[in-house]
Amino acid sequence: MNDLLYSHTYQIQGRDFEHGGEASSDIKEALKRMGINPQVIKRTAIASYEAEMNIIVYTEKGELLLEVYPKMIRVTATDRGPGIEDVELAMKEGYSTAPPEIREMGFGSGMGLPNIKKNADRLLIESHPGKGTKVIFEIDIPNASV
Amino acid sequence: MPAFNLYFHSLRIKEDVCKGCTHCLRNCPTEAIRVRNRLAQIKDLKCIDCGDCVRFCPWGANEVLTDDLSVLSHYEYRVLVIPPAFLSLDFLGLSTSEVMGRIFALGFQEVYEEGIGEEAYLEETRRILTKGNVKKPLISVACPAVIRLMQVRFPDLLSHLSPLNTPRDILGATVRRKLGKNSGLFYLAPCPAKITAIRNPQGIEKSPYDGVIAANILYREILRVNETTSGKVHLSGPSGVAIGRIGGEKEFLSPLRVLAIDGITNVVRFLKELEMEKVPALDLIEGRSCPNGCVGGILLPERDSFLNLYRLEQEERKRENAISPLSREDMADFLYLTMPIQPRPQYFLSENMEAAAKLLKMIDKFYEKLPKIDCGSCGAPTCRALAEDVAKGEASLEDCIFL
Repeated sequence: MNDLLYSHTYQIQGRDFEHGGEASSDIKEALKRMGINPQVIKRTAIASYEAEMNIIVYTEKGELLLEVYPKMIRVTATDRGPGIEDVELAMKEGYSTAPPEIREMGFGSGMGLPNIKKNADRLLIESHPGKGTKVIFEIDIPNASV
Repeated sequence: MPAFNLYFHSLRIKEDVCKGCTHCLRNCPTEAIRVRNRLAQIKDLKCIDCGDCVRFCPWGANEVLTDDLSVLSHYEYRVLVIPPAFLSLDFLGLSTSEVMGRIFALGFQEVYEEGIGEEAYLEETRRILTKGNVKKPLISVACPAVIRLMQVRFPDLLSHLSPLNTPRDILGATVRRKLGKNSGLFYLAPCPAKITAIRNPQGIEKSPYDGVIAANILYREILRVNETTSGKVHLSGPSGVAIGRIGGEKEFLSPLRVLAIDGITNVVRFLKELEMEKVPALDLIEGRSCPNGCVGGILLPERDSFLNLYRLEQEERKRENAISPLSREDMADFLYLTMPIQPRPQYFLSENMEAAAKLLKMIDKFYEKLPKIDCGSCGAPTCRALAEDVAKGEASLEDCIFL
């Protein structure tokens, strides 16, 4: 039952606000075309968007890996950015280390990780300060097909 | 009327005029067009009849299936419903009453303005937004191209569609009930989407209309026929006229939070944002496929929607104190849609998730080989669309001029 049905890697360029959100938009489109439950798609898309914007705001580059299983969707966001000093603190709504110029653009409001947690069924964050961060989240699919 | 298939649409390509260029291809909001063997083809399941291909075709190679006035001869008594946008046209100096007199001379006995239905529609919309338990933002059903866009590209947003019947059909059904057996009810369409909405209605079992005539056909006849006769005219109040332009719902539903968006590509962009829940709290989305709303309809003879908009606003002012001849109570039986609006099946790659995933993997594989510049030379609108056509066996990678 754990057969991987589909996977795809989306490359993300840090600081590229122009194309920010494209990877999560592509993920959403792929899931829509597969006929996956719209509620699952919405949660995956929103969580993916937050993960994507974290890579864009804080790092030079990174990637999102989408994996679709019959009963579950997994997204793995990997970057080689500065890492998160205190993961527990970063999970707090409103806590942010974003510089003012990023906040002026409407990002870095400290809702990213909390929003991923809110939309995912499971969330795992591995971060090594100075080396990078890996954010893995999973969303269960209630009905396997349309 | 001929029998129509489930996915009837009214736009056609004139094969002897089409040059096989890529203007329509690049501008189609649902990627419904392919150019094969130097000829544009429309994928019926994807076409939403927005008419942007007509708007962007430099050669006039698209046509719209419509009735002409000869259908009137099947009926003894003939009633015409006109969209407010029709009265925004420049009739070369003819007054509204002269225009009406000529419409009667052409064979109609009665004319109703669609805006009468709009007035009841607005009143009911305000009521459900204020009191009802509806999923906000509601999306207005007044523009049929927007409904079809959602069926084709945004199936998960269909739950936001207003449960109300369209102004066109609220009025149509009310008038239909009053008419006898040998009477014909006709709609004057400013755009192909409304022709399709009558021939293949969504959300209701059967259209109240017996036929639909393109606005430019009647316009030509009005200028040609040089006589007038009398008949009954029923015009709406100012809010009914405002349905003909973008912002009409917003203005007359104030202070409700209404966002008005015109132009089908702008509507697409907004719906993508709505899907991601990146929009502020709103009550209603007034989406219109054509620039400036129905005054920009491609079946209006005047293609400058700004001039039409100007004249429509003049008309609105003239009606400032006008009162609609039918009340909401008169139309109360027809205010709501009676059937759910379903997504188009083409949207899903397969009914089965596993098969869809397999196809998606093939699409990815072909897409990787393509240059990703979306030049359109292969006849598909984007490299991604070509990859999908190849995966489905409808095209070949060699169609790409770079490979």
